[in-house]
Amino acid sequence: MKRLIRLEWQKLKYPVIFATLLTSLVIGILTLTLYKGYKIDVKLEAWEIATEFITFIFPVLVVLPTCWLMYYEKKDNFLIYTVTRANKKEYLLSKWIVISLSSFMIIFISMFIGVIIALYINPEVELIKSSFDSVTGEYIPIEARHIFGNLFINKPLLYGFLLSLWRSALSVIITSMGFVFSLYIDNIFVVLTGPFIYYILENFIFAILKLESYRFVTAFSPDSLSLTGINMFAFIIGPLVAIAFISGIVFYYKNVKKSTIYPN
Amino acid sequence: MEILELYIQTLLDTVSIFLISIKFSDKKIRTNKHNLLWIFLFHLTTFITRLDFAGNNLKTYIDISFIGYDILPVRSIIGVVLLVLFLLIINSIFFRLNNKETIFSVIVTFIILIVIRVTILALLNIFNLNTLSIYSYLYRMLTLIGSLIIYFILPLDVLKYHIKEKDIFTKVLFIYSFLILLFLIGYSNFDINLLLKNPVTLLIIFLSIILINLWVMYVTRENIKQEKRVEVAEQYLPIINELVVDIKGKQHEYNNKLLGILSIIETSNDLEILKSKVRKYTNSSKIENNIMGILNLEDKILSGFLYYKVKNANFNGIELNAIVKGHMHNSKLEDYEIIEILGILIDNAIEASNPGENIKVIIESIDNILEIQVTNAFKYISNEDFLNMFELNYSTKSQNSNTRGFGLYNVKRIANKYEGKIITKNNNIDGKNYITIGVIIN
Repeated sequence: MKRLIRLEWQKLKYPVIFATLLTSLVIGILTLTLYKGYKIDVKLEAWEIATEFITFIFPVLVVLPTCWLMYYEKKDNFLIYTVTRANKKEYLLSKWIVISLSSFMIIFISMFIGVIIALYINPEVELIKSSFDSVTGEYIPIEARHIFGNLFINKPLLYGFLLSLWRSALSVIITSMGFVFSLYIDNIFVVLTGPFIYYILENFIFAILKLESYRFVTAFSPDSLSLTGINMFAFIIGPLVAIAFISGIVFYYKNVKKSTIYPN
Repeated sequence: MEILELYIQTLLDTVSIFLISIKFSDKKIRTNKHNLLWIFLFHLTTFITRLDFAGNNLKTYIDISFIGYDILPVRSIIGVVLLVLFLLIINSIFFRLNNKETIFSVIVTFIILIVIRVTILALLNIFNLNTLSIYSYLYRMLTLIGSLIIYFILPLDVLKYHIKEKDIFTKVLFIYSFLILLFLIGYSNFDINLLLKNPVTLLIIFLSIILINLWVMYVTRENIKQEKRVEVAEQYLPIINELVVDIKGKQHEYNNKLLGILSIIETSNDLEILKSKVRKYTNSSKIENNIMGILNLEDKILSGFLYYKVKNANFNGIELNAIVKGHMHNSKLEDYEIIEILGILIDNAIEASNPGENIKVIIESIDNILEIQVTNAFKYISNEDFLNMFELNYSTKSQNSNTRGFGLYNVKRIANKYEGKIITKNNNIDGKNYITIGVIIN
């Protein structure tokens, strides 16, 4: 199993490393520059502003460098070649492990680099109090309006670290969706963009149904909604729906269409 | 009322894009499931993305904006990216193009759409027709007419050819053209009035894009043809060299053969036994007339190709006889196109024949008329079945493979390119049915 995992990593390392570097560069540049057009209360807000764009495209960032491999192994009949050399379940599991860890790495490293830049590299800026109560005119402290406000203010590094970890975990779900698509679907465009289309559609449908709090994007970026819209379920429902969708896809292809991953 | 207006506008845009997209797929406009589903999905997507759901917990309002959608059905770069991704998916599913063709057909579709739309908008602005109440319908209708012209009249074979071939330079040019147009539109914030502030600059940019693309395609097309000629020569000339070596070897044994015949004469006492033995001996030593005929052909590439096919047929226990009259150089087809037609017809005949059967190939090039016919034993085929055989993805062989159904379609494509005709017939010879498939090109 270890050898299989090492083998899979050899196949994916260059695209994954490239994606990690590229995403880190983009987040780094955005963290260094974008906040200047905003009024920010605390330094870490520069990172939040920078990662808004990444929140929109992160399914593409994690699926594109990782999920192409299975599609091409099936297309070139390389998969049949592996039947006599490795246990099927172990082979697929090793692939999933490497793909998941890769997407975890891409998001965690790039996000945490943004945190470091925002807290320790960005030059000192004038922190402007920007939120005031519309009735009383009093300043609303950030602890009162930001998710995990105390942690955000007093331990921003820990906050950034934990949120980066959480986002990386969510990226594993999205990458798993891409992996499942690559197992059963013979269309590279559906495989690579399917999870992104799901992400957009889910966001759209939940917004129409007035369930913005339970979107996957809310779980990924809890600061995107006001504190009143966030509860513990906001972190769970979106990912659970995605997992249910993946399970539904597997069920459909396995039991309804009777498709097999390995050709008969 | 606004919903109806949005519905009609998005439908017109959808049909325009559909017509340009389907042009690259070699599929016909039919009211079949795939085409209707394509139109439905694209229309639904462009319709829904224009709706803005606003409101509070008590009531939801639907707001529709009509500003910024003059050029494309989206009005942001992100929107264009999403539209491109969506088109990639539906084109690959419904038009069954391969990955490369899908990507470049979408890029070229956007280039053509943007050029047509901006040109029409510019003309309407010049003639001050942008103040008409039906303006937003007018330019969309004109775009639809433009798309119909593209579909029915303009020969887009050149573009399709470059998408299919290994022509990296032209493909890079398509991508750059697309990015330049996208930059122009994005820079003007999808506002046609801003874009038309400098009509002369815009015209120069558009003309440059079109002319440079056409010139590069023309130049690279000649290079591709040359490459194909060399490829075919490299593939089949060595084979004819092998045949020459083979024949020379047989000639070298001439003295030994004569000694062999002499020894049969010396050792046989009976005339009838002598005749039988000599006949048997000479038959086994004789070079087949068929092979000699192929060796003597002036077209060496055709010679090598036919020898290869004869050997291939013999390996399957099938006899292949080729009759060649005239010179292939008189024909306006390229060598590789003649080889492609022959290859497809002969391979089909070999697959359809059983061991012990006979395939006849006739290639005549007289007075600039090229006629190729391949005849083999097969069950009776009706005219309707013959017609279907030349359609894309139709195959009488395995239904599970996506790679079948291209052979005779390609023969038809080459014949159509030179305004030739397809020959199909059934012949009954000694109680057995033979089919003939071929082409005739003036």
